[in-house]
Amino acid sequence: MLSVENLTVQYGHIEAVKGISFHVGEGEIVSLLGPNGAGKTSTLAALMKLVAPQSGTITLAGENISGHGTAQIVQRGMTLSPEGRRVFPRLSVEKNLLLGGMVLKDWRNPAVLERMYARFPILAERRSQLAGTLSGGEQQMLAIARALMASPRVLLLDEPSLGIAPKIVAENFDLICQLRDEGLTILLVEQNVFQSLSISDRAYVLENGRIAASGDSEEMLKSDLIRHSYLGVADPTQAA
Amino acid sequence: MELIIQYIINALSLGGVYALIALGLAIVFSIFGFINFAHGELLTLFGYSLFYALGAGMPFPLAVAVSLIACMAAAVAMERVAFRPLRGANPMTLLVSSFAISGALQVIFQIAFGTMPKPLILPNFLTGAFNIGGVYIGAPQLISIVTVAILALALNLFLNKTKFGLSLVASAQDFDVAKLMGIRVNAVYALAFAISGFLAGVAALLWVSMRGSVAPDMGFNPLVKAFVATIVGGMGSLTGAVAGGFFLGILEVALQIVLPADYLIFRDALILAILIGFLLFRPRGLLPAAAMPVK
Ligand SMILES: Nc1ncnc2c1ncn2[C@@H]1O[C@H](COP(=O)(O)OP(=O)(O)OP(=O)(O)O)[C@@H](O)[C@H]1O
Ligand SMILES: [Mg+2]
Repeated sequence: MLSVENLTVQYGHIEAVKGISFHVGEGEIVSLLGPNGAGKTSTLAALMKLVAPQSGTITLAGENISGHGTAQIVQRGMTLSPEGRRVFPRLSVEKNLLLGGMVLKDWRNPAVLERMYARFPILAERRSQLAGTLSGGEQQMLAIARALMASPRVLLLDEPSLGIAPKIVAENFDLICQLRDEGLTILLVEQNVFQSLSISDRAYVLENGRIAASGDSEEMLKSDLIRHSYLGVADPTQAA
Repeated sequence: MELIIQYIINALSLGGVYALIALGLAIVFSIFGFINFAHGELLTLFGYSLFYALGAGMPFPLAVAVSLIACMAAAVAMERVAFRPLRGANPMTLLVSSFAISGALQVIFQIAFGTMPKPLILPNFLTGAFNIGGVYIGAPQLISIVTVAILALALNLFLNKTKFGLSLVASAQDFDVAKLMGIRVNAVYALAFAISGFLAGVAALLWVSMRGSVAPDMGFNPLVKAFVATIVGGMGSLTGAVAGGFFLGILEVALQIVLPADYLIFRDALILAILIGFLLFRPRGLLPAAAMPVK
């Protein structure tokens, strides 16, 4: 569904992503793990063209989208729920959602909105409240709902459990599984290694802008390397 | 009593013009983070366009429409030619560029149209006065108040109900995430300037009907007042810009009344002094745009 070849992202002299390749199959949840500063957010930003990658080929559903701008990519069916939620704080919940579906022809279709409210009843209750006044968990829900409004085929999630109560985190992971079961393809960036490995099909571990490990999530759960790279220790033998 | 009503009307109409100009400044500020000092020259451009369109024998409504379009096109062109190449630059750089553009345009206007003011012959309904219950109210003043009220409402509807308007508001709050919504950056930039150009054009129409002539530097004075209005109102806040505009109009008329004739030349200096005093106590303005939450 999504495949990435030799992606490189540079900020001035800093090379944040150093020629990585990976793919996400249709209907898969793939985790992208790694310590702080590994280049996870930069990878997602490059996929959405929020930053211009130095090199790399990005293919979405068989179409080369490397030359597309953000708006075109959203229209082609890939959306991102960004790190730190980033809801529009001084707009109502409903307007945040409408903005999410803005690329659609009938962006004000009440049926789409009602379907989203049916999935997220709390957002329905809060529809006219300013998004900045929601709790962190509710804002995260809104950020995901907003990314779903454009009816994407591929959903990119950047740390959906960052700074959120454990109970809500569990609900978030349930939601992600549910979305996958409905046919959505998901690339999940997480610090919450154990939980994301337990719901994902495959995983890549990013370290210093390079893919340090990849494989089946189930197998990775058993490997020591993961625990170490999660803790940010480069060489597991030294830590031992 | 009649005199008081007249003063109030004068203050509101003058404040309305400042409010329109301040709104144009605030819309651009909310997206780009700088005050466009060349905004005043859009008013001047509208003035000359109206002057020559009327001179060419165009009927008044057509001349106004043509001049409004010219004003919006000039605003969009300004963004395209001068500000877009500086995209990503420090707002300070943009501010200084806008000063340069303002100065350059004033010189161009002087060379092209001469330094002397040109009298504008406007239709009677714009220059006459109404007698309402014994109170004489100037037509430009009344039209100004009504126009500002209608425009403020229309702008509010536009920003809240339409796709373009919502895109603009979202971009002002978080530009990166606005892009993630599929909003096209270039369209938003052009739209912000087109609206500011439209508001400048309408403000210019009211302004020239109050002063009755056009001159190369006619945009400068109201721009400075509108600039003060955006600061007083709170940078980047649209409601604040309107409030600041009216505050300044009222202040100016009040000083006009209370200052002895010999001291009237100090009026603008006094306004700036009051601004400084004001900022000491409310550094973020009357109605500051809510601070962005830390991400
Ligand atoms: N806009 C930027 N300008 C300069 N350097 C940046 C920028 N964004 C990220 N970086 C750098 O690129 C590297 C990768 O950052 P990135 O945000 O992609 O990491 P991450 O894996 O998402 O980390 P985290 O887990 O903390 O979110 C870091 O060294 C970071 O300092
Ligand atoms: Mg990150």
